[in-house]
Amino acid sequence: MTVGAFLSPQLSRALRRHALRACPPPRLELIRAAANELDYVTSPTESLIWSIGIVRASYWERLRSMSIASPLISKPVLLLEALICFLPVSFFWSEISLDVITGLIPRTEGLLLITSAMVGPLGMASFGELLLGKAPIDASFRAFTLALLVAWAAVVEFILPLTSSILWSLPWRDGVLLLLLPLAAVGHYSFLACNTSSSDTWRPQPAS
Amino acid sequence: MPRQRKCSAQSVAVLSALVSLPRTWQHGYELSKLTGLASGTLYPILGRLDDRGYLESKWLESTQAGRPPRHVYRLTTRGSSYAREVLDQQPDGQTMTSPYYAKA
Repeated sequence: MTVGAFLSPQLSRALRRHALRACPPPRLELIRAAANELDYVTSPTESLIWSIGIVRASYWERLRSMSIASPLISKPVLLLEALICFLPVSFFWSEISLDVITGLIPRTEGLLLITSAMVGPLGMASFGELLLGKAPIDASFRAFTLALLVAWAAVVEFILPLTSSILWSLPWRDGVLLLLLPLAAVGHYSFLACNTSSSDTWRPQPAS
Repeated sequence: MPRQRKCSAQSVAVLSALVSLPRTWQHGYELSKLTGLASGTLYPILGRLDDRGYLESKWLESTQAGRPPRHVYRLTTRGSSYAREVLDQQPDGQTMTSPYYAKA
Protein backbone atom coordinates (compact mmCIF):
# COMPACT_ATOMS: atom_id res chain seq x y z
CA MET A 1 0.00 0.00 0.00
CA THR A 2 1.41 3.40 -0.98
CA VAL A 3 1.48 6.34 1.38
CA GLY A 4 -1.07 8.10 -0.83
CA ALA A 5 -3.49 5.18 -0.70
CA PHE A 6 -3.12 5.08 3.08
CA LEU A 7 -3.55 8.83 3.64
CA SER A 8 -6.30 9.41 1.13
CA PRO A 9 -9.14 7.72 3.10
CA GLN A 10 -8.05 9.46 6.29
CA LEU A 11 -7.95 12.82 4.57
CA SER A 12 -11.38 12.12 3.02
CA ARG A 13 -12.86 11.37 6.42
CA ALA A 14 -11.30 14.50 7.92
CA LEU A 15 -12.73 16.61 5.09
CA ARG A 16 -16.13 15.01 5.58
CA ARG A 17 -16.11 15.84 9.29
CA HIS A 18 -15.10 19.40 8.51
CA ALA A 19 -17.86 19.76 5.89
CA LEU A 20 -20.47 18.59 8.40
CA ARG A 21 -19.22 21.06 10.99
CA ALA A 22 -19.08 23.98 8.55
CA CYS A 23 -22.55 23.41 7.14
CA PRO A 24 -25.41 25.69 8.32
CA PRO A 25 -28.08 23.64 10.23
CA PRO A 26 -30.91 23.99 7.67
CA ARG A 27 -28.69 22.37 5.02
CA LEU A 28 -27.21 19.67 7.22
CA GLU A 29 -29.39 16.92 5.76
CA LEU A 30 -28.16 17.69 2.26
CA ILE A 31 -24.50 17.69 3.28
CA ARG A 32 -25.01 14.56 5.40
CA ALA A 33 -26.48 12.88 2.32
CA ALA A 34 -23.35 13.74 0.35
CA ALA A 35 -21.15 12.65 3.26
CA ASN A 36 -22.86 9.26 3.53
CA GLU A 37 -22.26 8.64 -0.16
CA LEU A 38 -18.53 8.72 0.59
CA ASP A 39 -18.83 5.23 2.09
CA TYR A 40 -20.00 3.92 -1.27
CA VAL A 41 -17.10 5.39 -3.25
CA THR A 42 -14.53 2.66 -3.71
CA SER A 43 -11.53 4.36 -5.34
CA PRO A 44 -9.33 6.36 -2.89
CA THR A 45 -8.75 9.13 -5.43
CA GLU A 46 -12.42 9.39 -6.25
CA SER A 47 -13.25 9.39 -2.56
CA LEU A 48 -10.84 12.30 -2.00
CA ILE A 49 -12.38 14.25 -4.88
CA TRP A 50 -15.87 13.50 -3.54
CA SER A 51 -14.95 14.73 -0.03
CA ILE A 52 -13.42 17.96 -1.41
CA GLY A 53 -16.72 18.44 -3.23
CA ILE A 54 -18.64 18.01 0.03
CA VAL A 55 -16.52 20.73 1.67
CA ARG A 56 -17.13 22.96 -1.31
CA ALA A 57 -20.91 22.34 -1.15
CA SER A 58 -20.90 22.99 2.58
CA TYR A 59 -19.10 26.31 2.22
CA TRP A 60 -21.33 27.26 -0.68
CA GLU A 61 -24.41 26.73 1.50
CA ARG A 62 -22.78 28.66 4.32
CA LEU A 63 -21.96 31.62 2.06
CA ARG A 64 -25.42 31.50 0.51
CA SER A 65 -26.98 31.89 3.96
CA MET A 66 -24.93 35.05 4.48
CA SER A 67 -26.10 36.76 1.30
CA ILE A 68 -28.43 39.65 2.01
CA ALA A 69 -29.99 39.11 -1.42
CA SER A 70 -31.22 35.68 -0.42
CA PRO A 71 -34.54 35.06 1.34
CA LEU A 72 -32.56 32.40 3.21
CA ILE A 73 -30.63 35.14 4.97
CA SER A 74 -29.03 34.29 8.29
CA LYS A 75 -30.52 35.61 11.53
CA PRO A 76 -27.40 37.36 12.84
CA VAL A 77 -27.11 39.36 9.60
CA LEU A 78 -30.76 40.41 9.77
CA LEU A 79 -30.44 41.31 13.44
CA LEU A 80 -27.35 43.43 12.81
CA GLU A 81 -29.07 45.18 9.92
CA ALA A 82 -32.15 45.95 12.05
CA LEU A 83 -30.05 47.27 14.91
CA ILE A 84 -27.84 49.48 12.75
CA CYS A 85 -30.61 50.86 10.57
CA PHE A 86 -33.60 51.14 12.88
CA LEU A 87 -32.34 51.36 16.46
CA PRO A 88 -31.12 55.01 16.32
CA VAL A 89 -34.37 56.21 14.76
CA SER A 90 -36.34 54.12 17.28
CA PHE A 91 -34.51 55.77 20.17
CA PHE A 92 -35.17 59.13 18.57
CA TRP A 93 -38.87 58.27 18.24
CA SER A 94 -39.19 57.22 21.89
CA GLU A 95 -37.30 60.29 23.13
CA ILE A 96 -39.43 62.70 21.09
CA SER A 97 -42.61 60.92 22.21
CA LEU A 98 -41.54 61.33 25.83
CA ASP A 99 -40.68 65.01 25.28
CA VAL A 100 -44.07 65.69 23.66
CA ILE A 101 -45.87 63.96 26.55
CA THR A 102 -43.94 65.94 29.15
CA GLY A 103 -44.41 69.17 27.19
CA LEU A 104 -40.70 69.82 26.50
CA ILE A 105 -41.34 70.16 22.75
CA PRO A 106 -44.19 72.11 21.13
CA ARG A 107 -46.92 69.66 20.11
CA THR A 108 -47.00 70.52 16.37
CA GLU A 109 -43.26 70.16 15.95
CA GLY A 110 -43.25 67.06 18.12
CA LEU A 111 -45.96 65.34 16.09
CA LEU A 112 -44.07 66.15 12.91
CA LEU A 113 -40.97 64.46 14.32
CA ILE A 114 -42.84 61.50 15.81
CA THR A 115 -44.48 60.67 12.48
CA SER A 116 -41.20 61.05 10.62
CA ALA A 117 -39.44 58.67 13.03
CA MET A 118 -42.24 56.06 12.99
CA VAL A 119 -40.18 54.06 10.48
CA GLY A 120 -37.90 53.06 13.39
CA PRO A 121 -40.29 51.06 15.57
CA LEU A 122 -42.23 49.76 12.56
CA GLY A 123 -39.03 48.65 10.85
CA MET A 124 -37.85 46.96 14.05
CA ALA A 125 -41.19 45.16 14.30
CA SER A 126 -41.06 44.01 10.66
CA PHE A 127 -37.50 42.73 10.94
CA GLY A 128 -38.31 41.22 14.33
CA GLU A 129 -41.03 39.17 12.71
CA LEU A 130 -38.55 37.89 10.15
CA LEU A 131 -36.15 37.00 12.94
CA LEU A 132 -38.86 34.97 14.63
CA GLY A 133 -39.30 33.08 11.38
CA LYS A 134 -42.87 34.17 10.71
CA ALA A 135 -44.01 34.63 7.12
CA PRO A 136 -45.50 38.12 6.67
CA ILE A 137 -48.34 37.66 4.19
CA ASP A 138 -48.63 41.42 3.64
CA ALA A 139 -44.89 42.00 3.16
CA SER A 140 -45.36 44.12 0.02
CA PHE A 141 -47.87 46.38 1.78
CA ARG A 142 -45.53 46.75 4.74
CA ALA A 143 -42.59 47.55 2.49
CA PHE A 144 -44.74 50.22 0.81
CA THR A 145 -45.76 51.70 4.19
CA LEU A 146 -42.17 51.79 5.38
CA ALA A 147 -41.09 53.44 2.13
CA LEU A 148 -43.82 56.08 2.58
CA LEU A 149 -42.58 56.78 6.10
CA VAL A 150 -39.02 57.22 4.84
CA ALA A 151 -40.32 59.60 2.18
CA TRP A 152 -42.19 61.51 4.87
CA ALA A 153 -39.00 61.69 6.96
CA ALA A 154 -37.26 63.20 3.94
CA VAL A 155 -40.02 65.80 3.61
CA VAL A 156 -39.68 66.65 7.31
CA GLU A 157 -35.93 66.98 6.90
CA PHE A 158 -36.56 69.71 4.33
CA ILE A 159 -39.35 71.39 6.31
CA LEU A 160 -37.73 71.46 9.74
CA PRO A 161 -34.76 73.74 8.96
CA LEU A 162 -37.26 76.26 7.57
CA THR A 163 -38.93 76.41 10.99
CA SER A 164 -35.52 77.26 12.56
CA SER A 165 -35.94 74.43 15.02
CA ILE A 166 -33.22 73.85 17.57
CA LEU A 167 -33.73 70.10 17.10
CA TRP A 168 -32.08 70.18 13.69
CA SER A 169 -28.66 71.27 14.86
CA LEU A 170 -26.70 68.48 13.12
CA PRO A 171 -28.45 67.89 9.77
CA TRP A 172 -25.82 65.48 8.37
CA ARG A 173 -25.82 63.18 11.39
CA ASP A 174 -29.62 63.23 11.52
CA GLY A 175 -29.85 62.74 7.78
CA VAL A 176 -27.76 59.56 8.00
CA LEU A 177 -29.34 58.13 11.15
CA LEU A 178 -32.95 59.07 10.46
CA LEU A 179 -33.07 58.91 6.70
CA LEU A 180 -30.28 57.07 4.89
CA LEU A 181 -29.95 54.02 7.16
CA PRO A 182 -33.72 53.36 7.36
CA LEU A 183 -33.90 53.93 3.59
CA ALA A 184 -31.26 51.22 3.01
CA ALA A 185 -33.03 48.74 5.30
CA VAL A 186 -36.44 49.46 3.77
CA GLY A 187 -34.90 48.94 0.32
CA HIS A 188 -33.62 45.54 1.42
CA TYR A 189 -36.96 44.64 3.00
CA SER A 190 -38.73 45.56 -0.26
CA PHE A 191 -36.24 43.50 -2.24
CA LEU A 192 -36.93 40.46 -0.06
CA ALA A 193 -40.68 41.04 -0.32
CA CYS A 194 -40.53 41.21 -4.13
CA ASN A 195 -38.29 38.15 -4.45
CA THR A 196 -40.32 35.80 -2.32
CA SER A 197 -43.36 34.10 -3.74
CA SER A 198 -46.61 33.97 -1.80
CA SER A 199 -46.32 30.20 -1.40
CA ASP A 200 -42.80 30.48 -0.11
CA THR A 201 -42.02 31.54 3.42
CA TRP A 202 -39.32 33.88 4.57
CA ARG A 203 -36.89 31.58 6.20
CA PRO A 204 -34.20 33.34 8.12
CA GLN A 205 -31.75 30.72 9.25
CA PRO A 206 -31.05 30.04 12.88
CA ALA A 207 -27.71 31.22 14.18
CA SER A 208 -25.16 28.49 13.74
CA MET B 1 -43.45 36.73 -7.69
CA PRO B 2 -39.86 35.48 -7.84
CA ARG B 3 -37.93 35.96 -11.03
CA GLN B 4 -37.47 32.76 -13.04
CA ARG B 5 -33.72 32.42 -13.42
CA LYS B 6 -32.17 30.78 -16.44
CA CYS B 7 -31.31 27.18 -15.76
CA SER B 8 -27.56 26.45 -15.76
CA ALA B 9 -26.08 23.71 -17.93
CA GLN B 10 -25.33 21.69 -14.78
CA SER B 11 -28.92 21.99 -13.55
CA VAL B 12 -30.13 20.93 -16.99
CA ALA B 13 -27.91 17.85 -16.76
CA VAL B 14 -29.33 16.94 -13.34
CA LEU B 15 -32.90 17.45 -14.51
CA SER B 16 -32.18 15.41 -17.59
CA ALA B 17 -30.78 12.53 -15.52
CA LEU B 18 -33.73 12.61 -13.17
CA VAL B 19 -36.38 12.85 -15.87
CA SER B 20 -34.89 9.93 -17.80
CA LEU B 21 -35.95 7.62 -14.94
CA PRO B 22 -38.93 9.52 -13.57
CA ARG B 23 -40.24 7.07 -10.95
CA THR B 24 -36.87 5.65 -9.90
CA TRP B 25 -35.17 6.79 -6.71
CA GLN B 26 -31.60 7.82 -7.49
CA HIS B 27 -28.81 8.54 -5.05
CA GLY B 28 -26.25 11.34 -5.33
CA TYR B 29 -23.31 9.18 -6.41
CA GLU B 30 -25.35 7.67 -9.21
CA LEU B 31 -26.49 11.12 -10.33
CA SER B 32 -22.90 12.28 -10.21
CA LYS B 33 -21.89 9.41 -12.50
CA LEU B 34 -24.78 10.11 -14.85
CA THR B 35 -24.15 13.81 -15.15
CA GLY B 36 -20.39 13.93 -14.67
CA LEU B 37 -20.84 16.56 -11.95
CA ALA B 38 -18.71 16.68 -8.83
CA SER B 39 -20.41 16.45 -5.45
CA GLY B 40 -19.65 20.13 -4.78
CA THR B 41 -21.74 21.13 -7.80
CA LEU B 42 -24.37 18.42 -7.65
CA TYR B 43 -25.60 18.80 -4.07
CA PRO B 44 -26.25 22.58 -4.12
CA ILE B 45 -28.30 21.96 -7.30
CA LEU B 46 -30.25 19.16 -5.60
CA GLY B 47 -30.82 21.50 -2.64
CA ARG B 48 -32.20 24.26 -4.86
CA LEU B 49 -34.48 21.87 -6.76
CA ASP B 50 -35.74 20.52 -3.45
CA ASP B 51 -36.41 24.06 -2.16
CA ARG B 52 -38.56 24.78 -5.19
CA GLY B 53 -40.57 21.61 -4.69
CA TYR B 54 -39.24 19.91 -7.82
CA LEU B 55 -37.71 17.00 -5.92
CA GLU B 56 -38.84 14.50 -3.37
CA SER B 57 -36.28 12.71 -1.27
CA LYS B 58 -36.04 10.06 1.40
CA TRP B 59 -33.44 8.12 3.36
CA LEU B 60 -32.98 4.54 2.27
CA GLU B 61 -31.36 1.96 4.55
CA SER B 62 -28.37 0.30 2.97
CA THR B 63 -28.57 -3.34 1.98
CA GLN B 64 -24.85 -3.65 2.72
CA ALA B 65 -24.02 -4.18 6.39
CA GLY B 66 -22.11 -1.39 8.10
CA ARG B 67 -22.89 1.18 5.43
CA PRO B 68 -24.84 4.38 6.26
CA PRO B 69 -28.31 5.09 4.83
CA ARG B 70 -28.45 6.83 1.47
CA HIS B 71 -30.45 9.87 0.54
CA VAL B 72 -32.33 9.20 -2.67
CA TYR B 73 -34.11 11.60 -5.00
CA ARG B 74 -36.72 11.65 -7.71
CA LEU B 75 -38.75 14.35 -9.45
CA THR B 76 -42.17 15.35 -8.21
CA THR B 77 -44.99 15.80 -10.74
CA ARG B 78 -44.30 19.52 -10.70
CA GLY B 79 -40.60 18.81 -11.10
CA SER B 80 -41.21 16.52 -14.09
CA SER B 81 -43.22 19.23 -15.85
CA TYR B 82 -40.52 21.79 -15.10
CA ALA B 83 -37.78 19.42 -16.31
CA ARG B 84 -39.59 18.77 -19.59
CA GLU B 85 -40.16 22.49 -20.05
CA VAL B 86 -36.45 23.19 -19.47
CA LEU B 87 -35.28 20.33 -21.66
CA ASP B 88 -37.59 21.40 -24.49
CA GLN B 89 -35.78 24.72 -24.55
CA GLN B 90 -32.36 23.09 -24.92
CA PRO B 91 -30.73 22.58 -28.29
CA ASP B 92 -30.60 18.87 -29.28
CA GLY B 93 -27.84 16.84 -27.64
CA GLN B 94 -27.01 19.44 -25.01
CA THR B 95 -28.96 18.00 -22.13
CA MET B 96 -26.25 15.76 -20.71
CA THR B 97 -22.71 16.66 -19.89
CA SER B 98 -21.38 13.18 -19.22
CA PRO B 99 -20.13 10.95 -22.02
CA TYR B 100 -21.03 8.05 -19.68
CA TYR B 101 -24.69 9.00 -19.94
CA ALA B 102 -24.57 9.16 -23.71
CA LYS B 103 -23.62 5.47 -23.75
CA ALA B 104 -26.26 4.47 -21.22
